[in-house]
Amino acid sequence: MEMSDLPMDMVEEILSKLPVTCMGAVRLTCKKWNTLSKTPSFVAKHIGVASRECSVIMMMDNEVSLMGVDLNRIHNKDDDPFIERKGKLIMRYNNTNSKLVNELFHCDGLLLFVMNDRKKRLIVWNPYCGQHKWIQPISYNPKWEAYAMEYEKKDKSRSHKILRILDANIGPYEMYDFKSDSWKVLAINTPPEGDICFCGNALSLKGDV
Amino acid sequence: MSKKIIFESSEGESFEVDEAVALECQTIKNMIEDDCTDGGIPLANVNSATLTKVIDYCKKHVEAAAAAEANAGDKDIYGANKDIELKTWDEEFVKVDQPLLFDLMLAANFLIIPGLLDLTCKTMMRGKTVLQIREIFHIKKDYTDAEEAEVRKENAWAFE
Repeated sequence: MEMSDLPMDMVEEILSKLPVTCMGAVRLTCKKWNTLSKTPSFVAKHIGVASRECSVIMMMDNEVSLMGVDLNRIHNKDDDPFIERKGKLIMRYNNTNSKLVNELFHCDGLLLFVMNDRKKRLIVWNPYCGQHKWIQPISYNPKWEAYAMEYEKKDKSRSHKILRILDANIGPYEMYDFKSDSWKVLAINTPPEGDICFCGNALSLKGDV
Repeated sequence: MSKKIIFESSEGESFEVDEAVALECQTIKNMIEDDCTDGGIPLANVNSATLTKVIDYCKKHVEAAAAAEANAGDKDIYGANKDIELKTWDEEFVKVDQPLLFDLMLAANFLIIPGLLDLTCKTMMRGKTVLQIREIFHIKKDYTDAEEAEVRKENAWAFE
């Protein structure tokens, strides 16, 4: 019996058990696997399997790493590490270097990278399906800026948005909408009372904007 | 004395195991509940080498579960050490050649042994390159060079 003789649901079963670090190789193997890896049933299964393990994404030494955390081993006294690196972020093409990642935000499984090059480009990446998207901010080189990524639930779909703040007190506040692929400057001058809390350069946001 | 179950491999060889061990396989569990295991269970699609390994796996996991229960009083709430020991055992268990690993996976799927299915699936492709995967599983490259480059580009970003 060969892999190619297996029924598709069996192949789905096997591939869905693989860690996210194998998915690039899976998609490149053949057309069937590539198509399979993008079906909603596969994605649901894959995320279901992966969620049984605790993973975190960390920035260490300017590198973005996927870390596995084993909570069962957290109290072990010997040298057994309970946290270990499972993979690091590789960016090929577009002359991007993962060491240029300046800041990292996440929302709903999506990652937002603020790149540390002169143009300060933004990149949003979905670690599961591997897709990424470049977003050009309206202006470059501000003295200070803060970002937040949020989503709005409308009917059953989620529409993601990025908020960019150039000055905490007077604005401007810029909002990027993934659906329309455009930025707009929000017509508010002061931060909504109590809705924004700053934590270094990171920012968390509650409520509607 | 505990009840025994007899498996028969595809070569016709008989394997006698404790019922508790056989119960690790969901498929067999259903058969035992339906009382249709008398006279042995023929496993026409599992060969002797694979069946020996499957039984080893089930035995170890039954023993580990029993030991964990017996020691339940004096271990910490996380029960960590036993888990690690079993995990290490599992890792050693799947250090076999690729055809046997594949057969083990099929057997685990057929007999419904979730732990073993998980273990074999994960091990089978771990750390393999695309070329190695195609070679091991005899999968033909059906991408043209241009299509392959496109998929590579789509997956330019990845955790590796």
